[in-house]
Amino acid sequence: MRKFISILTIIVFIAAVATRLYALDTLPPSLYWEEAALGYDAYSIATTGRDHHGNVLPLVAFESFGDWKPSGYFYAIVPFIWLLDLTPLSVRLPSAIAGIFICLGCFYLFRLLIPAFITDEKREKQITQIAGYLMLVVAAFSPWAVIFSRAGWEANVATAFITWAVYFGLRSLENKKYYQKINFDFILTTVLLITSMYIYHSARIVAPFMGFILFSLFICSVTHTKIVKIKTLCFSSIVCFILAIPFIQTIGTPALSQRFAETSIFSDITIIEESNRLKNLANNSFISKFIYHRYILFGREIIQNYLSHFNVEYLFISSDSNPRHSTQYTGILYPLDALALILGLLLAFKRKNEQIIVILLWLAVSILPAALTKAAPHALRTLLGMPALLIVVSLGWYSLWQWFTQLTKNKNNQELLSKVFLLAFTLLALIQFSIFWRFYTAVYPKLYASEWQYGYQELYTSLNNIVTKDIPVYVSREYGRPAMYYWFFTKTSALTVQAEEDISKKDQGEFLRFKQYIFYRDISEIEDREAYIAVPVDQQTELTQRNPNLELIAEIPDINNEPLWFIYYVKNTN
Amino acid sequence: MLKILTKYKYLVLATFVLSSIAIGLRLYKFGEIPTSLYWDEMAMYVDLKALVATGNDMHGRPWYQLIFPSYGDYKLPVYLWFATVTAKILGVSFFSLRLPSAIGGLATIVVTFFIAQQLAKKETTNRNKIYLGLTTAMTVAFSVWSITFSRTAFEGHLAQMFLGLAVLMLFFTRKKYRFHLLSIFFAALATYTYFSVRFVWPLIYILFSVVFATDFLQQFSLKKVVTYVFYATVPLLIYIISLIPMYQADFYSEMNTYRYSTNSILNSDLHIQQSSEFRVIAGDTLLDKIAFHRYLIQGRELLKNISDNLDPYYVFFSGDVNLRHGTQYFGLFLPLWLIFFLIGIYNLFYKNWRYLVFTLGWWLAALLPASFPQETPHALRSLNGLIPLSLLIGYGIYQVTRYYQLSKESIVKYAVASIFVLLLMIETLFFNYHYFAVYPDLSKSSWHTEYAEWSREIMAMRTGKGKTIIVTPEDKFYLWFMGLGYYNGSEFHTWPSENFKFLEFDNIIFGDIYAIYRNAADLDVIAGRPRIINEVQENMNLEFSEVRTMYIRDTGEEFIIAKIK
Repeated sequence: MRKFISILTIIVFIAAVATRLYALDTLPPSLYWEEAALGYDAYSIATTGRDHHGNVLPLVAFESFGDWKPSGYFYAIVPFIWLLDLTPLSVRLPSAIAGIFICLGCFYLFRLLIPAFITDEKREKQITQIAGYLMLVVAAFSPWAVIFSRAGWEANVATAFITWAVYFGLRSLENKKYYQKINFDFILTTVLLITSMYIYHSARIVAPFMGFILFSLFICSVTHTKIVKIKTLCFSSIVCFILAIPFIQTIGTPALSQRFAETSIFSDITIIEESNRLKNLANNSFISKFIYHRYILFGREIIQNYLSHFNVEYLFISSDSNPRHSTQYTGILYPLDALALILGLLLAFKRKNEQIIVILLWLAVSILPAALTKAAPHALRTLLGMPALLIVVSLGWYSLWQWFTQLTKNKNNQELLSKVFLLAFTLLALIQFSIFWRFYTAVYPKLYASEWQYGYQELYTSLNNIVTKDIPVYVSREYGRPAMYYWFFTKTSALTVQAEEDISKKDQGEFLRFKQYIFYRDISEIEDREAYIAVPVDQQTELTQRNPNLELIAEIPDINNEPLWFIYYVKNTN
Repeated sequence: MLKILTKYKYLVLATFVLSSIAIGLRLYKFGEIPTSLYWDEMAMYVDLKALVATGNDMHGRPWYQLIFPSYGDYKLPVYLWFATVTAKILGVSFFSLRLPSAIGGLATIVVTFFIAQQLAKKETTNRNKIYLGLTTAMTVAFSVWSITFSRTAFEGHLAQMFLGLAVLMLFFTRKKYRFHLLSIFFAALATYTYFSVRFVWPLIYILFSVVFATDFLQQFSLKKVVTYVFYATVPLLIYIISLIPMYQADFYSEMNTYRYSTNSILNSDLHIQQSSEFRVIAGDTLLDKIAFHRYLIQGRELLKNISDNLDPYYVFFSGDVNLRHGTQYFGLFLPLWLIFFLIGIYNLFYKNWRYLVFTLGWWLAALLPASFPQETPHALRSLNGLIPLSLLIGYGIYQVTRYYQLSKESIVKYAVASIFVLLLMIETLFFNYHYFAVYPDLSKSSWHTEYAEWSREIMAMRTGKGKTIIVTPEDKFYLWFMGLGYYNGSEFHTWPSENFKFLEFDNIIFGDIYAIYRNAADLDVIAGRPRIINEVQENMNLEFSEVRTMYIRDTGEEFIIAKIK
């Protein structure tokens, strides 16, 4: 039986690796602008030691488009740029590798948790192995996990760090021989949690909370001597302090606060207007000032955002409404996981052991960042809690396995039922995964290519061949951030870009002009002179009506072979 | 009697307090809040006037007909029959029209009290069964959903009470088979009150027969199972037979056409389009044909709509966005009830799975009619879920009270309880304030309060010397004249109607701008949007002796009433 499970586990792990690495550079079909920005800034760091704005090795956040992205992912890309050059693959590899580590982390974490749920202690090893397999299948084929492992999402790397931090944190509570002087697992937890805060915004809420929980458990644990605890905590505190210094230094600066200010629900004026409207309807009575106080309404908004993550449609049917965060055809979980999720939660609450409470708290707190910001439910901002959710689902599957195998008391029959269950479970998982994967690979790229700014690579490759004269090249900003894509796909020297930092006109950190390239918003910005013009299909008619001296040089199709960009040459009219 | 009262003094006190609050919440300012009648209610009000005056409806058709044509929306009869009784006793008024619903709301509390006891395990003591009944009844009594619908004349609200009664009778069949007759009677009554019950009841019945099968089958054998299935099928067949009069009634097919004309998943072809699109893009392989099958996509759409009705924020915080079905600031239940809902489910899973499966199944069955139409979530169409949801929440409250009874005394325990009670009181206070102080103004337009004001104004301005022409903003505007005008209902059937709409009576014409031109020589009062009134005044050189400008509160749109000089 154990051999049988081991083989299945290895096969599923290989599948997990394959689903994360297969055609990584072309699925999703192209780089989203955040990915392009991550990639180019990493390239800039790799070649010059500065970001494209010229800042030397930013530690907390990169200015990027003025949105101050946490720095971790940039540095994670650097080694891949050294190895593979500046390509979509090198941008996405850190996330894909993190995805594999998340699967492994979940696997080991679940194996750590499951003994508390085992009733037959004689078969503990075998049951742990089965539970690990269930967990691995859930994590390997999870649409949520797969989607976010296949693009350059910082959140995915932060999730991997937090998963392993929780793993080491919970393992540090056990009585291991090698903890006799100092508990390295706990120190590792500290390092991983703090590092995650340098990788993704939401981790700045989740990681300290998880740190506090694990710290409290460690303090209260009875498995270690006082000396070990004191030594470990002292060492951890020093490590924590050193790692947090850059963070502390930037408190109050845009590097930390900008993103929250942009996305927070507290910047939503409509809530204040609604509060005033209701108070007016109540003639501004004393009681109405309480009931309809803006903070009550903000509180309701937070609750609404929080609860939206438990909506059945979000969980099991279509997930986040943003097509970059979901295929729109499957939820963050599969429909059959609904039963497992309920059973998992019920079982978790029933046992109430400290380890599973950590997982439930992890899940609960991971939704907070999304609840405090606009656009909920949000599959990306809650990604840090994904392993916790998958663990609860796996616990549900485990309880089903347990119930199924206990339908008979005969040991041999139990083994047979166990095999039947595992095969049926795997088959069902594969069926659901096949539907998801088919949609993701065959339909999704064609349906949502524009969400990934498809066409820039083809456009700049074409322009590179066409532009032979030193005349202005106008490129529309219709599809967003053309300058960044230009640098990325032409591998423009970072030194050249940094040199333009103080010269070039910018819009919220985005370059509007670079060398002979002019990135325009409106057709009226195009001067009447000899130039190349790259115009998107929506602006083509307007351009041709305004300027009759156009010569069509190239047409760039989208992924469905429909026209996307037109490149024109305007003759010198003088 | 006195002995029992002394023995259960706290329970008696609790029952008394609960009943007082429940009655108070439902009957305070009854007939005044909501501020006016919605057109479905106004149509019933017009029928009610006619029924009380003549024994026939507004079209002169007899009271015992099974489908009332009304204004062309074909209503089922039971609510109107009950309203006729209350109107006969109390006189025709908004109060008497809405009273059956209020009584239905109060009866729902009682019905839930008994169902909860039936769902309790056999070994539960009588006292605990009463506790469980009371906590569940309290949930309904304080339910925003029940309170708001008790104050309006929606047939669905009365129907859910009858449905609850039918379920209660089903539980009694565990002791005596003949209770099936009462169960079928109430199920049929519910179905003749509200259309969608005919889809819900069979599902609940089948669910009951499966979940509680062991109560009827002490031993499992093929013969016994077959016998059980036979005995369980007979009541269902009788129920179906009881619906035959409805199927054969006049206007049955028209009623069906009208009901199914609502935009729904069933009459939309979006799933076919999507399926084709996905299949073509993917290459239409065998896998694509399965993975993107239209039924799969249609099923997803249904699940999405069900999901809207299950959304915890909708259930416990916001309710239906339609101001006639909710207050927009409170959910179907008070927010604190969410905690008890979760506690209820958790405890039922481990302690009484049949209770859990039956109530969850009932709730889901109730959501089906609300989930096929596109407009979701929908508090009215899902009203049949009121009792099962209350049963789940009530069980949670019961468990918490049990915990308090059984655990050791401690200050923390009482502090938590006190905070909880305080929060509950605050929430109830907030709800009452919102409902009685703000909601009337907030929902004014949703209840067509302006139509009532306009119709009264027009009636007051008429001199009776010429024709009143109303270029109607709404083709059912005539109902307000029939309902609120000085007619006693006996004259309605003598007036001409077209497709069950009365567009000309008592020198009042509801039409378009050309109706004014056609009756140029004989005008008394004209009314319509400013654009229309200005146009006819200009073209016909009309002089007005009096002009009133009215507004729709929500949109600010103007409506002008002008008296011709």
